Amino acid sequence: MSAISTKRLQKELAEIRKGCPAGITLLEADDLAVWFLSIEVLGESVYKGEVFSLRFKFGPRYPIESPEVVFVVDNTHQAPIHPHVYSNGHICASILGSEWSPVLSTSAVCITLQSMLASCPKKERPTDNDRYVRTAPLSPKDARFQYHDDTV
Amino acid sequence: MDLTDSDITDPTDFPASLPSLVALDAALRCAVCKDFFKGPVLLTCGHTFCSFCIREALSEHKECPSCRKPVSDQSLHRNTTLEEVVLAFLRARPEILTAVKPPELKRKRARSDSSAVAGPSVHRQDEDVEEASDDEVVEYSPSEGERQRSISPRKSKESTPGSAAPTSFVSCPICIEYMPMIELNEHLDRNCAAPRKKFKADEGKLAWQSLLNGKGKAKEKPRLKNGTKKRSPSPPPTRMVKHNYHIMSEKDIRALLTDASLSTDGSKKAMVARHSHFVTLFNANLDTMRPKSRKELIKELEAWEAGKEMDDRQKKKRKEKVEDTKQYEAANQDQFKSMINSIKSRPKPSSSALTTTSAKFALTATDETKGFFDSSPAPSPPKNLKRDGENEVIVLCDSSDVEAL
Repeated sequence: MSAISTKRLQKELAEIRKGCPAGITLLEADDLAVWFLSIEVLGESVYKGEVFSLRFKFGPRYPIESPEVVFVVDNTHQAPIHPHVYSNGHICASILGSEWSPVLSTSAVCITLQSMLASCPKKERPTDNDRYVRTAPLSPKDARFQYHDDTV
Repeated sequence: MDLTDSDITDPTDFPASLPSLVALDAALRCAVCKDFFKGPVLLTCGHTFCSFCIREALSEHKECPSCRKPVSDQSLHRNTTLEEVVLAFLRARPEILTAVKPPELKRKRARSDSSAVAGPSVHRQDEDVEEASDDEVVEYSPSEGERQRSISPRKSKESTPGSAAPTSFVSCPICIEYMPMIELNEHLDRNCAAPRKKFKADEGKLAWQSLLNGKGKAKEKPRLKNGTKKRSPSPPPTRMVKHNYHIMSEKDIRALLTDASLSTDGSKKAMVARHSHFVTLFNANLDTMRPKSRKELIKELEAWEAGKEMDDRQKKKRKEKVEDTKQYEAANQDQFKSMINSIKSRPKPSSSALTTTSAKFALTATDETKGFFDSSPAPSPPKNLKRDGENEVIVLCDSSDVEAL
């Protein structure tokens, strides 16, 4: 971890601990490499009442490089059924890939994903879900997504 | 590991009841590192970042991190005024913090400060105004004597220096630089300037000349001596440039490093990383009011490289691949068996079609995993566990839209 990423993550953590935006809670942050946060869509939406868990992995080049963000999929957690979220938890969102900017932060990512879920009119998986999940790399950062649909 | 270090300052150090102060603190911070601007530079779009931060960011994307307008690192301009504003605010910050602290804490603070090393006693005229305007927050108004003591400019969360050994490191209350506590007073007396070191200006200049002009250095020198009038003793050092490393040979890169008196150890990749990081450090350093010496920069570079090596090693460890699958299977047989059993012993779903398919998936997964196992025990949906072309996956969220692209 370089000095800049350590310091920045410490600040972000302090900020998150002092108070998260509505619907977002810090579940676990034992170190400065992996954090778990839960997000929930507040208000009327197709995900009403569902709580999802996000895993953030920060590399040594954070915030210059984007963090790896996936929905946790295990016995107790499921990925939301959304046209940009694969059933293995990988998210197809431009801000996590080519559109990442170092001014974004953990809470900014959470808010973006929250609004991505909130604006979803119908629960469905991406059309190529099976194909992707079969061949998906371990980290979504190694997949080359094509971002084309900015309606949801 | 203490994840929230005590020396991390944050806009929320100010009470939430004073949002204007929180906003002021936040406005003087770089959006990339979330720390106070260090050598701020202005971009053509009007946004400002620390020189180092923006140079690092530009090495990834040549655009402004805030508004995504295209930027080149040649178009960065020092923002000296903002740097002064930040320094002035840093001087005032501990005072404001003390002034707005609830009385309980403040009294405690004042007591512990009396045994502390006195910082520079910067008394601001407008402090009274500050306190007066926040009447409902600050009910406690210290007596003159007490206030004198309470205005030791330190961050609220820091440990008290009274408890610190003279050899321990402290952060300068003005420029937030780290140093042994015994050096702090001297440092403050120098107005936060770096200790004067015997820096041979000529040596550096020559190095840059040879770097920039190549062999022309020998000719250049006498002309300067005879022709031009005597220049100021230390002309502003020239900025270093990043080269197009991948078209350079290893020998060229080694020469570059030698010219900059950097180490030439390691692979070509390591050397390129070293040179390009040093260029960033060096150029960012020129944008600060108190530039560090070359020696300090090289030290920083070495620290960065050591950290990077450690990260790389950890990454390698994580990516360890199973070479001998047979042996791996034998060694982990127990675990595999228990996983297979746990899946087989799952209650079989009875009715709905959806659950039947997932049961079918579970069976397929068990069959497939006989030879090789993925780390995740979750069986559905079935995975083709042999991943070929792992990094070459092109994914379309919605294949119906592909033509539109």
